[in-house]
Amino acid sequence: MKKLISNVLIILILIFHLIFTFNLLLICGNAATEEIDPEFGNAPVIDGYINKTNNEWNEAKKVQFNLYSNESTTDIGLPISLWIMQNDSNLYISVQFDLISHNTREFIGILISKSSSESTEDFFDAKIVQFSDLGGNNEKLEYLDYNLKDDVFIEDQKANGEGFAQLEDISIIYEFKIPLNNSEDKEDIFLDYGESYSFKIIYGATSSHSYPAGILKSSIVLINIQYPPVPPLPPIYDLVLLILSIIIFSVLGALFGFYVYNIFILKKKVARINI
Amino acid sequence: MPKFKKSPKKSQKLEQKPSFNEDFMFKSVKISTILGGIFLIISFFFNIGIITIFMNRDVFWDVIDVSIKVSSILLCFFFMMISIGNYKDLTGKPSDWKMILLLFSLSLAQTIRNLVVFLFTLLGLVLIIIYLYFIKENLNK
Repeated sequence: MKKLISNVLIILILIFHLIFTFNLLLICGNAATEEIDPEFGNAPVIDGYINKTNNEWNEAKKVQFNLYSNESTTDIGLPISLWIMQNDSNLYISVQFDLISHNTREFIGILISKSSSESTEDFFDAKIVQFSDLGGNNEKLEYLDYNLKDDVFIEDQKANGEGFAQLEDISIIYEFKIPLNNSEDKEDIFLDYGESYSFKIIYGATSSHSYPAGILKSSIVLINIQYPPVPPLPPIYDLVLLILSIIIFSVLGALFGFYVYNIFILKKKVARINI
Repeated sequence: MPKFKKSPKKSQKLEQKPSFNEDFMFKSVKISTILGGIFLIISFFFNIGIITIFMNRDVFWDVIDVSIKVSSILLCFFFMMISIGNYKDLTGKPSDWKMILLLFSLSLAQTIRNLVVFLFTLLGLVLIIIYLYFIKENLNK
């Protein structure tokens, strides 16, 4: 009996351990925490400022989640607000968060996978907004475009896209513009309509641009690039169809009337023959 | 002067039979024409876009809208086929393929504003023609 109880206890402990480990992996691991279908909207100005009077970023999908340190399992994470939207030609991403003391060499980067794969070796493209002397007199900001080979960051010969950020008190707004469906640059990922890509949001601080050194926290989101909406039919096309259908139903009505008239005539004829 | 008068009952019976058939066929022509007309009016209201209460609400209402449009056209075609078939029988001319083709194309023309309605109507019309063909074949046997 005692043996049975101890066996049950061991099994229970094992189950609890598995559940706990699984949850921990979900929270701290690099698995995609969010799957996002961006909405179409008007292109925002990439200036690190959200102009509410122009309804900028109004159509964006807004999600809240945390960036976690890869090394630490006890990290409470950095809560960020991620806004994502797209138009026919670009994907727009805004990362916003509050920190009481921002690092002067802070950066936010977006690593793009070749597909929905979240394996480190599949992240090929990186767009980074890097500060130096943030909040100081010599504040400088750079938008950097990299391609990754075996986790080594190689700067692109030509930077595609745009990035900017602005700090206001404790809040910082990073904005990115990433070209869609039109990149012929082999150093960039060709983001195609209707496909899903893993995006790793990275936060860190470095002065030497020696990425991946300096990356402190990260999280992965899955973004499903949407097809551009089919443009509505021009009003003239609709009007032509309406007129055509009216003509068709008029012809049908006339033929129906003629047929009913023929039935009456036939009835009279048959009545006459019967007499 | 004939010695025997013809039995009046027998001659009456001979006369009544075609008259009864004609009446029945007339009734059939009238009823199917009325039903065809009713469905033509329903099709007119829905397919031209006068009644749009079911349109662009959600998928469920879109399905109902398309179903009404398709079934009104198909039922109109079905009843008009029956009506014209009986009418032709009354006139002594058999219904030909030209008439069926005309009805077929006029029914399809009603779907000009909606591709989904067009596809389902096309399928339905083909099925109705096959159904009527087999019925006719069975009757001929």
